[in-house]
Amino acid sequence: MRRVRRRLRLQAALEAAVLFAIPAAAGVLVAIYAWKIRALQGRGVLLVLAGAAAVGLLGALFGAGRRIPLRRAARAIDRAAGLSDRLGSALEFGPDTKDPFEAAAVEDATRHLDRARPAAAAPFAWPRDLPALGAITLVCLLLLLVRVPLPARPVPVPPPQAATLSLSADDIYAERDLQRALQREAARNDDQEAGDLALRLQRLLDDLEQGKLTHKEAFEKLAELEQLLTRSPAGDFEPVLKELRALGQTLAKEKPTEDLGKAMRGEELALAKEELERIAQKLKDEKLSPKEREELARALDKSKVDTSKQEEQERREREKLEQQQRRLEKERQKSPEKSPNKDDLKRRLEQKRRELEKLTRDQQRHQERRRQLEKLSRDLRNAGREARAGQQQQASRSLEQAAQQMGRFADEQRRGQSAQRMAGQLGELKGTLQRAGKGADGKDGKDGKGKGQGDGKKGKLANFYERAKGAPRPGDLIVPEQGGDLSMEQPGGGQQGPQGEQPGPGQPGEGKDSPKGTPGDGIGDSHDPNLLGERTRLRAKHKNVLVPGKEGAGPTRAETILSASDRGFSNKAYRKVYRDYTSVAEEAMNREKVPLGFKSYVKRYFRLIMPRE
Amino acid sequence: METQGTQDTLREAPTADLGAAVAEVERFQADLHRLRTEVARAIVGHEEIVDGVIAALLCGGHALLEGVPGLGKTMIVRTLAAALDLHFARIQFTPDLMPADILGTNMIVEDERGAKRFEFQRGPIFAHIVLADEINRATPKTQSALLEGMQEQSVTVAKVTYPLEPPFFVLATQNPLEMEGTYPLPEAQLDRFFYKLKVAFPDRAQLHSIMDRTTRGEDPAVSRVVSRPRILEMREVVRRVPVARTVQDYALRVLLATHPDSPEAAAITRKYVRYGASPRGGQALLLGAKVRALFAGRFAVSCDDLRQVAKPALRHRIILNFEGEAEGIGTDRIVDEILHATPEEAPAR
Repeated sequence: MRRVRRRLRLQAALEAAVLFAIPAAAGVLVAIYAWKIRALQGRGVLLVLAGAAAVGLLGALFGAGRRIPLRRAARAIDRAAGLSDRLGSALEFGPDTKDPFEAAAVEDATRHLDRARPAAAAPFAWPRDLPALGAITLVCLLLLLVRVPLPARPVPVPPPQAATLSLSADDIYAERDLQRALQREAARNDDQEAGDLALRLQRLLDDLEQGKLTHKEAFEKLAELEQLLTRSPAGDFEPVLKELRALGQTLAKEKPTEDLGKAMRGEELALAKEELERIAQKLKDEKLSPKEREELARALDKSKVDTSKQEEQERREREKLEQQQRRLEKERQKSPEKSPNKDDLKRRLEQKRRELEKLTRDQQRHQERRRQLEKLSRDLRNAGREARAGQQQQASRSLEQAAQQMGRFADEQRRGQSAQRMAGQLGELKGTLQRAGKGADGKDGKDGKGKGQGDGKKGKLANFYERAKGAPRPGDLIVPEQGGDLSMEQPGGGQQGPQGEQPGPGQPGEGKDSPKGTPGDGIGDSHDPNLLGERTRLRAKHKNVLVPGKEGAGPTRAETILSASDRGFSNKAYRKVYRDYTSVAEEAMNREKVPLGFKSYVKRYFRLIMPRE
Repeated sequence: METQGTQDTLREAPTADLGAAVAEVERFQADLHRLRTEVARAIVGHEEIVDGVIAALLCGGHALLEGVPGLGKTMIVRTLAAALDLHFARIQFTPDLMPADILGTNMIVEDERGAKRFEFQRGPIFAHIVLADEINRATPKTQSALLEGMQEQSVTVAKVTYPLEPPFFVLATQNPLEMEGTYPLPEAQLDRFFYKLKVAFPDRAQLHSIMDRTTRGEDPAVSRVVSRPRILEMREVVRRVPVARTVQDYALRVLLATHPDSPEAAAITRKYVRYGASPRGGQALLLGAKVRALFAGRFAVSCDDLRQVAKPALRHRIILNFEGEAEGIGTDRIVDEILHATPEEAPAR
């Protein structure tokens, strides 16, 4: 029975070893695969093999260590030898039993022991899990023999970068033109703030042309510029203009101050300043007769500005300011640190603070202007009184002071107009950016092809701009034919005119050319990209003739428009015509008489024909 | 082969009792052999039935024979009774059979002087071997009269208890064909039968023998081979046969496997059985196995002995549920599957 038990133990060890070896073999399989695809070194595989062997051995020990009662061995012998549980019963009864039948059973079992066959009782059998182990082992061997393709290493995908925006020089020509004009104006007026704005705009345009900005970045910079514009001291100048127009209306009724009044009525404050200086010079030179002085005094006595509305506006602003201050105080008292929406509260606080700052600035500005208006009025009246009293020098000085004040108003007006132009141009630029961002065919315009523009027209638009200004003067932009940087005309320096074209009398301008294309039956759905029309190359003999100007009513509106192509857009008459037509066009667009999609074309058109300096 | 050590381990029992035990078993086998041989002279085939009947007799139980008419059921009992020199009585159960027809009744008798008195006239139940033919034809009241005697080993008539002389052995028969107008024994009454033996139709060879014996005028006489006292001794011997604990455990696991609510219940039990075998079934298993061990000349019961007696001992004690009855699942199949599913060695807990 002990022998049988040994055999049973051995069989159990074998079974357990195989059972434990199955997961170990699976591990070896994985290790071999990893070695094949070079994810594991050979040494690692050997380690895994050794581990698998150890696991198998452990299983064998576990199986062998399990208790096998003698009874089990006895039963195995009984079954194998057909002893009908003799041995098992005998073992249980034991040798010391007193029961005769049990004793007889024991003896009976003893007699039959010779039939016991340990080999038959505990035959070695293949472990039932051996097929599984065999299959895994076979797969391991096959894997060792076959060639395993190495898995492709995933190429790291670079993070997607936002496409940058690139605009051609043509796209932003108008903006560049304006930027240079603003820069010149700022330099002329020694306006630091305007100069900064112009410089910022230049940098933005440079970045756009060089493709350094993404769509989002471009709009952010644009927003910054717009914000700076709103902070410009040249804010709402209209109330001042209104007072000056009213004053001008009064002064224009009197002969000595007619020109002054007209200039003021026409919002030409720089001209008004010149008129004041002229009158002051006359007084200084004592060229006015007493009668003229009296007429002048009478005219100037009427120059009283009504600042009551200004005061009313200031009062309203003060109230608004106080209200904003109270609101801000309330917001501050709500403890943002403890509130669950503290970020939102902080944002609102910041917003309120900015509004308060703006209101404060506005109020200060309005007060300053009111004082300036009152001073202007006072200077004019003083000049009148002094002129009446024969104090011509004092009257001259008063008028000079008034002229200085008018000059300041003119500067402010110019700054306001510049700011307006800049704001308008920024709006145009925004539209250009939006169009460039969408792209005609998905391209970001880096190749220079923007919507509706091509390489062939690059020089053409530049030429148009050049001609629009008329003959180049010192300080004017010099437009190269094909690409290149813009440069400024140096005083006394050579000039580079548009290729093949010389301004001259009688030469038809390109504006007369009708745009090519099939005429439609009304409003079409596209525009002729050839905005400038076909160039004509009419070579005719000519000679320069100086035609002295005549004092008169000036050219008619139609003459002004027709001659704009010859003389450029930089004359006084054209400026007036332009203003009139622009206001009508704006009114029409505001009343939505023009389809929305075409407003940008209208704006662009007026931008192209805007007066040049 | 290491038998010496084992022999030394085993060989320490007292020899005197051992010899008596061995002699008893040898004598048991000899008597049994004679009995079988004698019965075989009149009965062709049916060795299992004969062994079963003998085992039931030797275990002190009763047997229920089920089989179609004409298979020799009565012949078996009559022959056995003749070979054992036991008083045999046959009761043909009919629907109009009364308990008094089985038990007996008090009758008025007149003595020599003309005095009348009641005298109990014993009924057929007072035999040693009673053949209750077609027991399912009698009314439950009549059945109970017999069953009471089977259980109590006595009868009570008119408040007087009359013991039944041992060995008292009832062999009841049931006809599986005639179910109309019958009174099937209730399960509680069936449980009182030690064995239920199914008499199979003889095969062709056996039929030839039967024809040869019964149609040629040869009517073999059966001699008495075992006396009544010897039967009682043999009963004692049976009860002295030891059962190893593991073997008895196997028997009980088989018994428990017939109960659907038991943890040891087999799958088929859970599906088709309503009630399992009672402890009487366990007694029948063990006693029947003991007889088988003695039949084989062994001194202890083996698991194989239990398997051999499982069907006769348990088939009538397992009550099927509706699904089992609807699907026609036989209790024999349930016992087979239980034996197949129950290991000899108890699983380690």
